[in-house]
Amino acid sequence: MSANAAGLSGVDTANRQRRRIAPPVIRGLLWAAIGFLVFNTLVSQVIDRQPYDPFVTRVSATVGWAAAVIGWLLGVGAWEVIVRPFFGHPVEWDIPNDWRRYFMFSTDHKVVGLQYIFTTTGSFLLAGLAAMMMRMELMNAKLWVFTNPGAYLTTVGIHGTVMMFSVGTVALVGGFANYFIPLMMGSNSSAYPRMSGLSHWLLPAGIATVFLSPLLGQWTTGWRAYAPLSGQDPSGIVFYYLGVFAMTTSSLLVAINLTATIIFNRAPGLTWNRLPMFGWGILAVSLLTIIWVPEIQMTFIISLLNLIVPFSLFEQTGSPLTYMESFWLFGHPEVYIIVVPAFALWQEIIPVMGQKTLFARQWGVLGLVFVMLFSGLVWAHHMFTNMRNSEMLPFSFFTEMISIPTGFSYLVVLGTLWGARLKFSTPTLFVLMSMFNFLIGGITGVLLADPVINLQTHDTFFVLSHFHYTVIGSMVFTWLAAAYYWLPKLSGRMYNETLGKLGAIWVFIAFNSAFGQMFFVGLRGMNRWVAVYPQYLQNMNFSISMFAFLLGLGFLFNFVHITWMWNKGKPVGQNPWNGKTLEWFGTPKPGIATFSPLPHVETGFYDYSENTPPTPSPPKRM
Amino acid sequence: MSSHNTYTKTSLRIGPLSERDLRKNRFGMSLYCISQAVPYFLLINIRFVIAGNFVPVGLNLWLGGIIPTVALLVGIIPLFTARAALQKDDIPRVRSHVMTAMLLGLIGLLSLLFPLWFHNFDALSPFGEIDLISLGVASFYTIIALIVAWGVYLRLGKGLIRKETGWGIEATIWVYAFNAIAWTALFFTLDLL
Ligand code: HEM
Ligand SMILES: [Cu+2]
Repeated sequence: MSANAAGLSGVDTANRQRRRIAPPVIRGLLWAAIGFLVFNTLVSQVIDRQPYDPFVTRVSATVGWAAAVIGWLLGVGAWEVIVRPFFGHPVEWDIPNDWRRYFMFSTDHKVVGLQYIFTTTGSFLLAGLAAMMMRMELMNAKLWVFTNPGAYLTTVGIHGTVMMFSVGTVALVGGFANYFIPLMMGSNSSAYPRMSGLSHWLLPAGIATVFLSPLLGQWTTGWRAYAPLSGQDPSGIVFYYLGVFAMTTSSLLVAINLTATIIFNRAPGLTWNRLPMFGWGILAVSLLTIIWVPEIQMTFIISLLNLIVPFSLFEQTGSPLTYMESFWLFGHPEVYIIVVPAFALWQEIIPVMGQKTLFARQWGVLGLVFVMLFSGLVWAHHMFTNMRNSEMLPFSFFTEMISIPTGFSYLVVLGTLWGARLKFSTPTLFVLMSMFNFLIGGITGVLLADPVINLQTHDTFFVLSHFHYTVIGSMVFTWLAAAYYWLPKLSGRMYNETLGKLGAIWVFIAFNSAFGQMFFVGLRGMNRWVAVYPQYLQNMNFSISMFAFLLGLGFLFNFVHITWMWNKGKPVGQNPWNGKTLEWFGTPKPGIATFSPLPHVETGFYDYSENTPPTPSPPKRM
Repeated sequence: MSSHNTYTKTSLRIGPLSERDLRKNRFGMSLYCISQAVPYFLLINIRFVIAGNFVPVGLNLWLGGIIPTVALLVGIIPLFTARAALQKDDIPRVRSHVMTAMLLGLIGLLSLLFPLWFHNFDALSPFGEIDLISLGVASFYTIIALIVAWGVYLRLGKGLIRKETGWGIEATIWVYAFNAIAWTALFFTLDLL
């Protein structure tokens, strides 16, 4: 039975449509604006008047923001789908089966997944634009794009924050996993569809908040918002804390929803032994999110209160180091939240492209799980400059130990590649590039885990390049691999193989040329968080900037190609890669049930050794 | 996808839950509790890092301390009796017990808010801060618990919660008990230990 066969008379719908005064997103914006104005005014003009009577104060902005976000969520549909039913009214929320469904509250996991994919892509482009402005500034050893160093640093902060909390953390989880995990589990829905619908709409609210932060003033801390520095700036940092709170809450809800989906919505026969690798990856990431996101949220709330009450917990009279510890306790697991889904996708794509059984699957699972467990033990490698020598050893040791379970992920893919008749498609190419880039990122990571090297390179472009190798080099490259891999499923159309490969090679060369040089410019003394640097670094920075622009254009090229093919590509069958995971066997269209009846799983998904269901594949020549 | 089905209705099940759905909901609630316990751990840790075991002499152990602890802990009991009454489909009784829990919760909330509003510590001492933040956190979660209970109370009044569809009551127990226990733990470690 399709989900929209639920008895709904035309008259009913027509009446409700007439009553709905504005499209939900517009209504959300309106309610957000009203919420902000009313509560901001109430606080700044009545409850908590300040000397000279400013209209917006730190406190009023915070309260007004909370009202605005609540107004926004209610306006896009939480009012009808969550609040009114909660108090006992019937749900009156009809979703048109066309493009409008992406601009309103939806409980359909496919719609939610696509909403996340659009929002993430949009924020990637905006934060990427910020990166282009930064690279433009760094082309020259003097200030010339920005008028003051604070403006440069604010841009760095916005870029880093949005990239981390709305791209890195979200692209593969909120986006692809929301869409594909229920499909891969053989289920027609995620576990808590209403919560899932809510989760997406927090994300644009958070992104907008961070981008609007300059309205409250500059902030120079970067994405880590270190106290007490954060207390010395004008007030832009207030919107950093609030925006990050919205974005991380979004991720937390996704994690809870997907964990329960994997545990409870598996189709009959889909045992733990058969769970797809992407399922394991998302499970590991979700657990990290469930533990560490609330940790950083509380830290940020305390920091925010530090500013607006004000307190001095992390200030001079308190303990600034405590802030750093609390930040990095979350901060390191965060990098695995970003990269573990990418590892899992390598193991998802390569067996299909090679039509070869996944090598040593259990070791792949163990790798993902142990990376997750170790990630909580290493945070202080970000603080080697702030500790006694004797404290460094354990953190150095555990950090280097993580390369062992990480190695499992590599070996599983390499073992699968061994002797496979690999289909050299665009997704394959992106996966191989991603593995190469992570190798560089990982090796430099091991170097950085060594205090001797770390103390020399701390806060230089060496570190910057190291982590961009992991976030762009691995995560973003795998994101593109997944986009090309699943495009036929998402759109029913195929991309153009030549253009796809061109796009891959383009970003690969541009990326390695730009960020490869950054290692060397870092070793030669280029610091992070500086808009102006010594003249002798100018030539190399100029060259880096050129390749960075090329990289930006390369990403744009890939996005345009994908969007184009989404609408105009050659129509293609249900399962062009001959994959065996369940997503290839359901209806991809939003608005109708994926599986009817539910599939029954009889073998593992990575078994290409014999002719096994669910895909009958032609016998293999050995 | 056929043309006459141009709208998808968002449906809300208030039918009985299957055994599996019940387990799924309980699992979700336990994830809520696990994730929301983390901020409490962090608060306790930060307090010991910054202020050690120091407890100021002027601390009022009753307001923002013993009174909310007792009120919130005792408030759990009527929720359990409400669930028992629901098994007998005795809806008026269920409502009155939920109301009792809400009143106790309200007493707890007021007793938390009072010292928060009229705080008598200098907020610029590490202890004063942690105390105020703890009171704020506890008030926040108490408000959440009260909202959950209130929704259940209204739905009970509309006859939407019955013996077979009693998840709402159980959800309230989870949220309410989590808040009561977490606050108690915070109070004990911060002010009494
Ligand atoms: C599109 C290509 C990108 C370029 C050219 C680029 C370039 C840069 C530059 C120049 C900086 C600031 C250096 C400094 O002064 O400290 C920076 C910082 C940063 N970037 Fe990127 N970036 C890109 C993409 C990404 C992505 C995809 C992510 C994460 C998913 C990311 C995360 C960060 C973070 C976390 C920081 C640190 C911000 C801070 O110091 O607070 N970047 N990037
Ligand atoms: Cu780290």
